Amino acid sequence: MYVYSGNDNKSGYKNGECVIAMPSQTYAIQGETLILGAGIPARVVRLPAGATKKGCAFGVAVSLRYLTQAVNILEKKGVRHGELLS
Amino acid sequence: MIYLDSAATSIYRPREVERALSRALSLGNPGRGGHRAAAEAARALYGARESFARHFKSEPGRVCFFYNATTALNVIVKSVVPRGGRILLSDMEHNALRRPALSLEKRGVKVDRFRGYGSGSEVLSSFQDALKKKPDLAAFVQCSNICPQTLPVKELCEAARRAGVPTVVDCAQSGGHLPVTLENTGADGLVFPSHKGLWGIAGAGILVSSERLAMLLEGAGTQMEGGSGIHSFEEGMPEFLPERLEWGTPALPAILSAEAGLQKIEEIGYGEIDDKLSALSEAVSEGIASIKGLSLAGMDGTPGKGGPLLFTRTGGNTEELCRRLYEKGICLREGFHCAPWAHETIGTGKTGGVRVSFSYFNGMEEVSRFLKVLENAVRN
Repeated sequence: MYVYSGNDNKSGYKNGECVIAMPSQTYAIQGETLILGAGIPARVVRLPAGATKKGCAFGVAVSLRYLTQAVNILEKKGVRHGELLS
Repeated sequence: MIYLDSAATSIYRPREVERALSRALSLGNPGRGGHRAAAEAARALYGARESFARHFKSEPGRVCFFYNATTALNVIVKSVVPRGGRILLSDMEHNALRRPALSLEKRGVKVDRFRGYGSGSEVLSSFQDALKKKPDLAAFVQCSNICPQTLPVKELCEAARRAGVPTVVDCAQSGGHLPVTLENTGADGLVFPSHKGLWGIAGAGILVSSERLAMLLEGAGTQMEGGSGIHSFEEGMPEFLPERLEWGTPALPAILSAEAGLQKIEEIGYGEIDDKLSALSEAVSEGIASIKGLSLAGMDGTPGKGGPLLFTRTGGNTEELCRRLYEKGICLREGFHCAPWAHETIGTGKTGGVRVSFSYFNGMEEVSRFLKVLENAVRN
């Protein structure tokens, strides 16, 4: 799973935020909807340029402290999420 | 004008569809860019996936949008049936399935047909016999586009499931009229055009897929490739549905218009729609039957209520008759309706016929006027 820690002020991510890479924008929005539905703040973001070797990609940004919970939600609901780095 | 050609396309659109179209005009390109216009478009597109998934009992990730139902059917058939494989269709198919199947036949695929016109048990029996040849896919229409024949889709899909054969149903004429879902049919795929019973504009074909069909489509090679908004460096399309099958810019106006139409159908209810279509069809059917020199075709099988009606003229010139009707503002369709197999099957393979098809938005006074005009045109 791709996790980015947004501390550099250049990426557009907030401090302490991390990004769960998603296979497509469809899954990113689906993931965001489910995570928000559990009361966890989340938003769809583009992954930073060069973050993956495949090119443009989307993910769901959540606060690091909610990461485990957010991933569990996705896995419980069978929503695809995963590594884009190779 | 009296429009009785809704089997071709709907010209009636609820206000909600017009509003959805208006909204679509200011949306960006979904998935192309991180700016607000693109993000709003992406959410609108996802919202449409959710609507179709909820209504037809699938998941948003298994709702794919093509440019029309024909494209969807072509992609499914050509992805799932391997070279040298076998496909099973009915003898009532529209060219949307007939032509891709015949194209595959030239590449060594065997094309079998089961009897799609007759009683439910006759159709099922013929289908079960054909299943013994173990086709790679069974693809068939639910409701004929030329007559009221309705296939027993639930029973056919159940039989196919027991035989291990995936199914896809062409719901071009049943979408918006019959309450079909993946759950109540057991089908692996349902395909709908945006612009007929769903009351949207032309430009989208919607595939609602089971997990099984999704896996088959994801495992198959792609039939077309193009931009997907993600994974730009990759040479191939993304691995997973729906993006794997959605090349280029999605037709957002058509998709959102169909979503709005679907929501209106949910509000009205299938029962009321069915009652209205049945009443219109019954009135026209009785009216045509009472006009000397005309006869209805395709009524001997399992006629569903509210489906299209096909009539022929005994010993007369049907084209001349239609020209007179058109002069009076009556919109029908004569000829072979892109369905030569269906015409051969019901006995109008040489003559074709004149098709009358209905919309929920047609009124009884319209059909009464049509019948008067028709009677005068036949007599004079």
